[in-house]
Amino acid sequence: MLDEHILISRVAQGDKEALREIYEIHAKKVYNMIFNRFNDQYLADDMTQDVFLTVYDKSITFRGDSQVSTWIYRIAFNKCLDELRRRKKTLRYKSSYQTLEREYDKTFPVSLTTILTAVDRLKQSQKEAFTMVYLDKISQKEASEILNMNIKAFESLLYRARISLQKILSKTKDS
Amino acid sequence: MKTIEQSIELLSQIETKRPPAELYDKIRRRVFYFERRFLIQWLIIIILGLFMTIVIIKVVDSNQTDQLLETYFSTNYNLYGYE
Repeated sequence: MLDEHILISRVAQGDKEALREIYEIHAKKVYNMIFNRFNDQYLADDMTQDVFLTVYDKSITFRGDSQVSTWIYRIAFNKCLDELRRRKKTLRYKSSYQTLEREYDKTFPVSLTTILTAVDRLKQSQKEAFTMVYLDKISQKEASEILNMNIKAFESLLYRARISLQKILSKTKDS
Repeated sequence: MKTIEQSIELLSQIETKRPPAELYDKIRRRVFYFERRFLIQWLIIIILGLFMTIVIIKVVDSNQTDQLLETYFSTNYNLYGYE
């Protein structure tokens, strides 16, 4: 943890090798966070570049109040929100993983498309919480910090998301 | 709650993607351009600052401090195109 703070302070001094180390640690999660929201490889490429350029540019303003990973994921999350605002769209997952459908459908009674359609129907805040934890695989503590919530409120939001998802999936099953 | 647990298990099996290998090189190139742009901005500011300093020194040194700046330039340089 402390090492990453040292790395960021080296980045602030213009150390490219430190930036590379930060990139090696966090690029995969940042890339997937963007890909999970837009399902566009080229956009994920561009936005990941933007995120790390922002990290380089703003590293001098990093106060060390939070973990470096939380700070970087928040930058990535804000860029995603900007892009969504620019496109004036809400998150759509339904079509995102249709290519994976064939592989996973055989082993599970609920199809991936059904789940993602159900996730699409969640409220925006519940959708974000659910996506961060179960698709982006970010810890609940970090996700709560990214969304500027306390951990208890986040756990409650995630619980509500799971309940809503359960209801939607039961309705889908019935119909 | 069984369905939701199964759904989450299914979601957790989605493989995470790896960013392309050449992505960091693109970032490094953009950092390089970013720094160069930053330097060019400073260079422009310094050049403009120097230019203005030279102009002011020239006006002050010309011993025509009582003149308006426009009068100084119009008498020393043919600003209006009159012969």
